[in-house]
Amino acid sequence: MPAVTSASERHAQRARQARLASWRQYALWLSIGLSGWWCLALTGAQPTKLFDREGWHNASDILSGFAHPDLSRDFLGRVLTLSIESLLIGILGTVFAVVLGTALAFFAIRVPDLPDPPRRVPAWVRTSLALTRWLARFVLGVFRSIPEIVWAYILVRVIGLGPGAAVLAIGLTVGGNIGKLYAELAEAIDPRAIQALRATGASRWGVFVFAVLPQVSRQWTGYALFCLECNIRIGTILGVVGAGGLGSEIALSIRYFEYDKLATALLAVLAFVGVLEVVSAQLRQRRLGWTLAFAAIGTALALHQLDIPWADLWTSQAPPLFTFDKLALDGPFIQTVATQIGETLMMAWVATLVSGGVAFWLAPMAASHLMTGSYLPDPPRAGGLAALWRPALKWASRAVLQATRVMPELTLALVFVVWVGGGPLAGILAIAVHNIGVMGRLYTEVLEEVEPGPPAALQAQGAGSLATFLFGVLPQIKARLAAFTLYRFEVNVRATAMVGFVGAGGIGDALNTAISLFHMRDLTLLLLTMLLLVSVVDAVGDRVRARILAAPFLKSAKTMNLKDITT
Amino acid sequence: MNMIHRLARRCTLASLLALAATAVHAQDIIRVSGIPDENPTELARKYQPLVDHLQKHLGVKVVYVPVIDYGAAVSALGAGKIDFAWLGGFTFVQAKVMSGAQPVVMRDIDREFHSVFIANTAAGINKPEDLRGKSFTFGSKSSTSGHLFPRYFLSTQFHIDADKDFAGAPLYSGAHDATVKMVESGKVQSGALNIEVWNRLVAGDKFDKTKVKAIWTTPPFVDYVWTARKDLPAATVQKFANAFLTLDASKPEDKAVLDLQGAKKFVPAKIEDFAVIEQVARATGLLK
Repeated sequence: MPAVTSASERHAQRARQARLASWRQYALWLSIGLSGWWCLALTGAQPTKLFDREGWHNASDILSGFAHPDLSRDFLGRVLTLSIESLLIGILGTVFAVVLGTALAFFAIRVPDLPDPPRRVPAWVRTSLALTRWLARFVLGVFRSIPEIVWAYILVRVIGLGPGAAVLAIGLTVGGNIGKLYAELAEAIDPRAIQALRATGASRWGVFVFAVLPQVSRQWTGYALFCLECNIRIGTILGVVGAGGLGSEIALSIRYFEYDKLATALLAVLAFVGVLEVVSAQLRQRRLGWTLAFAAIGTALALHQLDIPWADLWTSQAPPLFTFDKLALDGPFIQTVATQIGETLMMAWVATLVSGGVAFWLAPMAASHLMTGSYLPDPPRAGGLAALWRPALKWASRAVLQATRVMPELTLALVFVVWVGGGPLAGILAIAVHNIGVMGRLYTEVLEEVEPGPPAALQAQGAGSLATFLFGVLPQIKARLAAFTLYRFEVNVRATAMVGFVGAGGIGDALNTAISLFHMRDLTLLLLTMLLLVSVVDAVGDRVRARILAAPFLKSAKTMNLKDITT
Repeated sequence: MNMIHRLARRCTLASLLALAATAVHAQDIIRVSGIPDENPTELARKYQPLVDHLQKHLGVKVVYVPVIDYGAAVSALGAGKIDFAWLGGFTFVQAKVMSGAQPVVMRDIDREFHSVFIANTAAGINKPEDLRGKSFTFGSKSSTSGHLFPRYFLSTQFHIDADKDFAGAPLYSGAHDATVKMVESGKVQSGALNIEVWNRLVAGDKFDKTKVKAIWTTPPFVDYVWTARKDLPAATVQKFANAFLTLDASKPEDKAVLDLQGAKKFVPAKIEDFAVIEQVARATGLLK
């Protein structure tokens, strides 16, 4: 090979490489699409069930309830009381989660070293610090890898029926999530402030309060508010295992085919979660004090209203649920669990692809710049029919995204189990529908952050919405969309374990059986499996995401996590 | 140091207070509950007269604590949150194995209880052998007459493995009346439930009788029993038992209570009666 190649040769080589790269990309997309198809086939889900004769029949039954919701005073009163209970569960759960998460994050944060430490820290101090950090992260991992509903069911056994179990369940799972993210955010801050304080000899506490907190407080409250919305949503459904709130009414109305009652309960969820989103959006724009005041009032109200037997947490004499003796694995058990893990992963994957696919089209349709406005400073006015259908389409897309996001996966799973029968299909649909809304919002936010130059150039040449999106916007955000989708896949693995609880396939069904029938050994093993599964999925996901985002012009994986805050 | 002392003292005080509170509870309040084998409205209707009767007979306040989960009743009994619970045979065995609960009284019908298999009339099922390859629902996972014994008899009498031989995995409706509702709707072709609930539903008008038919009744087994938690004083348990044993069908007010329970009288329950259930539960893998 000659040391110097001619310019034309180099050019040809680069062109070949570019062609190869684009082919590789096509192949990747094709295989992703095929993998979705293949997973769907392997889970044995038949999507035709949605619209066969029986499917139509069931769907019309459910819808008939919405035509005549139960508006009797008696029932409305109950729904109102339970809605308030759900609301308080969500607020108190969030406060509990933030306290727990922050406390654990405090120990989990790795404080950067000084460039030239004044004296060498003894080895045992370093080891014990590392050990504490590792322990805190492990505890966070345990909390977050077990879905709320599983915690709730376990806690119902420990402290009895009622909202207490839901509050603690939310506190644990979400506390784990919050702790992990808070630690990550704290480690991503500007290290100079910390180093300055360290150089003056400040303690870990001092560094935390005066260097870390001021930099992250905004992001932390943002994420806490986001969690509040999620928690109130989930607070409306944890009642299916007897943990208070609206959930018990929803579950009972489905069990006894009382669709009029179901409709009322679901409409109540839609209404008050909707209101809450407005409140939360307002709080996010205002000063921190408002949020703290809201949290304080909510907590006081919740502690007053919800009867939570705190003492039972320590002194409960309920029969034990876990056992660590005779944890030997036998063949059939491993086989069952392996099948269920496979099913869970495949369900999560299919659901992620489906919702990603739908949200990919709905999100740009909900974006003002693309549908009704323009990237240009003085856009040509749309005339005639376009002035009608464009806003209509935009608002319709927004409504779909909003409505699907408000409904928790578990509630949707209950409804889909009635519609298409129990099994993986119901679970896939529930997660997919909920995620259309969640991913739609994530995608919309990414869309809003594009450099206006390229799409404006296209629009100036008279390109339509589709062309502007595909050639002006998409190339800028492709990698981040992919990274977000992957991130949602990780979340969905946990969600899939949750929907199995109400008979929608996956590992959740086994968890439910183990708790209902007091099979302590199975439960312990299943929870350990969950822990392992979630850790592996998260670790792999982190790696892949970092690779996707490693391309130039793109934000780092850390900043992408920051973006989740606004979700 | 001082502070730790103070904290420790406070904790002891608090726990003592808590203990005292539970002790007082046990004496002048009796909390009863039962497995939620039917819908809450029906349960409230069935329990209210019973609670009134108990209150009159025992001379203390009796509170009915509704639960919405079979296992929650078992746990609550073990944790001492309730004093007596109306459990099924299987849930009783769970409570006995895990927390040493003791049987008190049972209805006359519970000594020879049956389950009934039902099918949607459009499904073409006439005998239990036809169930193979059809969709099937049990009641709750923890139910004796809605799950344990139907599963057991399917396997021993007809060699049908509930987990493999139906169309798809078996469903769990959650309660006996919900099983009838599901079979009636056609969402599932067949199911099994408690015969006492079935007879009561057949006598009423809660479902369309042209759509559901009974296809087989199981051999008898022991079922429901009033269960006392482990640490109750013997005198309290005895008084509670007497309140049931003295129910007399010839007295109108007693008859009302008995009728709601579907019984002619109550009889003492013996722990030996449940050995068979424990065996069956272990054999089917429901008790581990």
